[in-house]
Amino acid sequence: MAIIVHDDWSLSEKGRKDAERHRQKIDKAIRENVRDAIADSSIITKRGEKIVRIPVKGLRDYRFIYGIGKGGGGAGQGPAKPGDVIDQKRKQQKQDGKKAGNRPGIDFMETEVDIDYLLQIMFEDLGLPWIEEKTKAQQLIPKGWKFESITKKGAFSRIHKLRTLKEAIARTNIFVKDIIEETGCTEETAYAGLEQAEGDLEIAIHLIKTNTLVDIPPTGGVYFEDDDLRYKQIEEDVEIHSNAVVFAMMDSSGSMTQNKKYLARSMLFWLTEFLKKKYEFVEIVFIIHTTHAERVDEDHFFYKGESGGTFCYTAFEKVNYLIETEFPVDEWNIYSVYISDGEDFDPDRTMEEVDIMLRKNINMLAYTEINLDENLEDYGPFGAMQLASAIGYQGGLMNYFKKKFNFSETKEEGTVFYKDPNKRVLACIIKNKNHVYPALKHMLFERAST
Amino acid sequence: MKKQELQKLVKVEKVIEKFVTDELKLTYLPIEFDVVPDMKMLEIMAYRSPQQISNWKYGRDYERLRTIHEKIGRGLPYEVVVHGNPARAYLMNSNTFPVHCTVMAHVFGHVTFFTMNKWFKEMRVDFLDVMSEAKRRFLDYERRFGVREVEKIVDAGHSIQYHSSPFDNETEDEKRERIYHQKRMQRSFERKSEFRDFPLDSPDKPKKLEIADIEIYNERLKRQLRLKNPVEPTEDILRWIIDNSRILENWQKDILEVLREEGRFLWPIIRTQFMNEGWATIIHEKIMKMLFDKGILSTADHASFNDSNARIKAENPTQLNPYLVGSTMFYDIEERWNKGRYGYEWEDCKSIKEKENWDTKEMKGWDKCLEVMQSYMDWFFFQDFFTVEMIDKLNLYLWGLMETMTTVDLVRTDHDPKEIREAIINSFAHSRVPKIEVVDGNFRNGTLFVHRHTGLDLDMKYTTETMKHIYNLTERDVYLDTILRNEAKLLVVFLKGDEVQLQILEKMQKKGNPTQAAKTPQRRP
Repeated sequence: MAIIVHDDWSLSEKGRKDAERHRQKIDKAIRENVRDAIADSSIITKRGEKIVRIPVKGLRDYRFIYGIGKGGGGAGQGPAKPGDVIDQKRKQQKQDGKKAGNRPGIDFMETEVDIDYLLQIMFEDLGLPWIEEKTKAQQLIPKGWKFESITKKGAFSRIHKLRTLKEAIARTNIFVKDIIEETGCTEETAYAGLEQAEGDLEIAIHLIKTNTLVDIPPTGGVYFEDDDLRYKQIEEDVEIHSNAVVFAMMDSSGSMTQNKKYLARSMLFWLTEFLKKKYEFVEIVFIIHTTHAERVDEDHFFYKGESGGTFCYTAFEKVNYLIETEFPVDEWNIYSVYISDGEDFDPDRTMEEVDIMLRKNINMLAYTEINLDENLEDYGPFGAMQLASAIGYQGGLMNYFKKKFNFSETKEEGTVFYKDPNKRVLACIIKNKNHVYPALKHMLFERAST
Repeated sequence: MKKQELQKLVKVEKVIEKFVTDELKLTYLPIEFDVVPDMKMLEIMAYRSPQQISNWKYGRDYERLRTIHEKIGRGLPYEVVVHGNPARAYLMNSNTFPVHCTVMAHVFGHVTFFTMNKWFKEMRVDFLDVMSEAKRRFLDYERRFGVREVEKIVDAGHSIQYHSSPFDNETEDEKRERIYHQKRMQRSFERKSEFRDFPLDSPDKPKKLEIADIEIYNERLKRQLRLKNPVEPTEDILRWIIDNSRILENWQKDILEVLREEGRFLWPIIRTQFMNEGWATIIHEKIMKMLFDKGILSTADHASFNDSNARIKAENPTQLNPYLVGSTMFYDIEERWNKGRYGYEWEDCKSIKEKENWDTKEMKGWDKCLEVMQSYMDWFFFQDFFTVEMIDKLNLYLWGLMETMTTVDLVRTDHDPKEIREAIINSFAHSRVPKIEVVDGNFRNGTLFVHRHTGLDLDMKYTTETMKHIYNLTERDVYLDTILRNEAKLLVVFLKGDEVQLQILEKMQKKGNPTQAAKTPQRRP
């Protein structure tokens, strides 16, 4: 009979460990749910947290149990009247031709997955396309330490045994030649003398000359001298990489509603997370624009809102300026990613800037238009879209892109992807959060697949 | 927990102890309470015990509980109590003081039930030690043979661990001996019988038996019994597999033994769930009422208690809540026996008005409750005390499934209370563990299991997977004789290529006569 308080119960972590085991078992389910997970708003709003929660269905433990027969079911309790629907379950997609999921009590739970793991399974064989070795000014990436040169002085712990032994043998051979020259004896006697003199040349010569050698054949041993010792020296290891810079441009004007901004951000969030993980040498430049473009830091880019009018060309102008000043094309692989809702007050000017940019021979330009299945009425009767159409608006920026480039179309999952490999322009339309993942995949394909 | 609060809690514990022994006339094993942090509590709940082996199932449950806890469960009066001597119970640190008191009172209810109910008499009280030893050994196995191998055995063991009873302790040899004697006695009895109506003249019975004949008969009987394996159909599937599997190594057998022991330990707990929770609920309500009456808890605490108590006894639209249904039944028993509303007189009384005012002031209610609590288990408890009136009182109903294009709807059916009562009682048959027996260990190069059909079919998906588990333990074909949709079927699980597959064989038998037809030897195509 006692009450004991265990405040500092050292958590055994058993639950977490076994949860990990379960997670491995349902890895497939996690992979299937990745699409929902990456479009989950909580990932972006929770700063710095490296853990994502994914809803999954737990595995079942199989036993002999009664099934639900015809007319069967269960007992329940409550104010329901005969014929009332007390609960509803969405039917599962048919798997292996079997009907599943009509058993009540299948509950969903959330499992915790590391963002790194998600990135790994999402972008398993993806990378930046069209990456090139730039001739000028490559970047040195430290890769840890390596043993490089061999010196006569150094710390004893870094002694190079093989080199030292080689040196000692070489020197012994020279000594033997010296002895033969000096005394005219046989090679065997010379070796024996050197050995009995414990490696000392002068004593050996003296021994042989005075004929005081003990009659023992030489063992072939070698004596070391300080001069023989060789040491390894460590040096910083570097790898030479091509430079790459990614310009992440986003429209943050008033027409970008909360939902659109959220999609844009979640897409760029995963892009940057992925790039940071995969390439150590990629520099990411964040640019937001309304009626003027601004280079901002990551924090500002993802977590702050803006509003105002829309001049898309400003962003491209800014990038062009940066390419000229900071990231010259002969040094850098240049990738520009632009996300907007397609609304632009001056699309012709924008296309001019795009032209300028492409003429600079950049590696890739990706344009993503967010086109939610929303009605125009969402903007109100005098919303921006109506205003735009009143001043001769010709549809979204996408139309201009389509006119300008010779796109090949692929339709997939209810949306369209465009690709112009000659000019290295990619474009796609995102309609809902399910499209974020395919759009990312569209953008990041390996060079091999082009 | 603050020191002050702890002291107060110790004081409350003393008061409860006195109340339980003196007023409620209950006995119980000593109880040890541990106050633990939230996450530890969830862990213990997921593992159902503070000492448990490692398995992905527990990890899954942990994650599920944590999700519920974080989404809706904050402030729930979580409670874990483990039967043993001393019984162990856990209080969650973040709970409020009245909730602590409620949980403690509830635990007292459980422990008195464990101590006094007759089905728990055979249970071992040192089970935590067994599991803690097993946990250590299993970790060692995981290191030596790999997590995957151990998990395979544990999963298989879990799937059939409830098919054994703590009351069946006869070994195969003892059974053989017993059956041998029974048959012999039967034989000699038949010969000596003077009663004409015994089947003395059945054609296959020899007219006269010499002493030598008797010896030959006995020898033959002995040999027959020796060849039979199992000698009589047994429910203890794991025992049979451990003794007869040709592929299991000692460490694998050890794992299965532990899991079987766990199944036997849980046997009475599974079979008394509604009684157990109902009993604990009325005990905690009585204790809490006493604490409020004595002024140990203030009126301010009343709100907190009411809130948590209402959560415990909440209605569930798709399931019966054992706390609510069980406690309602115990209260009903108490009231009926207090007022003398039982026996022939009460049942024969036709006048509704008279019945309404029936009160003989017998005040035998609590004694009856004690009697019921000591000797019943769920199935019989519901048969005897689940009245038709209770269906209306608790708003109970049955639901069925209705499929539409995109959804599966659970729809309330239109049954009258009597039918609902029947259905609910039937659902407690064998406490939802289907009765499955090992019948023949040498059946067509495999093992024959027979499902004693009691009106409900087995779930096919679950059955297949379980049979595959059994296959993994024996590596011989697994036959299951059962009835599906009113047709007798013989299911077989066997190895085809690298995959264990299920095949549903021809109609084997007539309904209601399971074993006989299954004996006709027939080769599998």
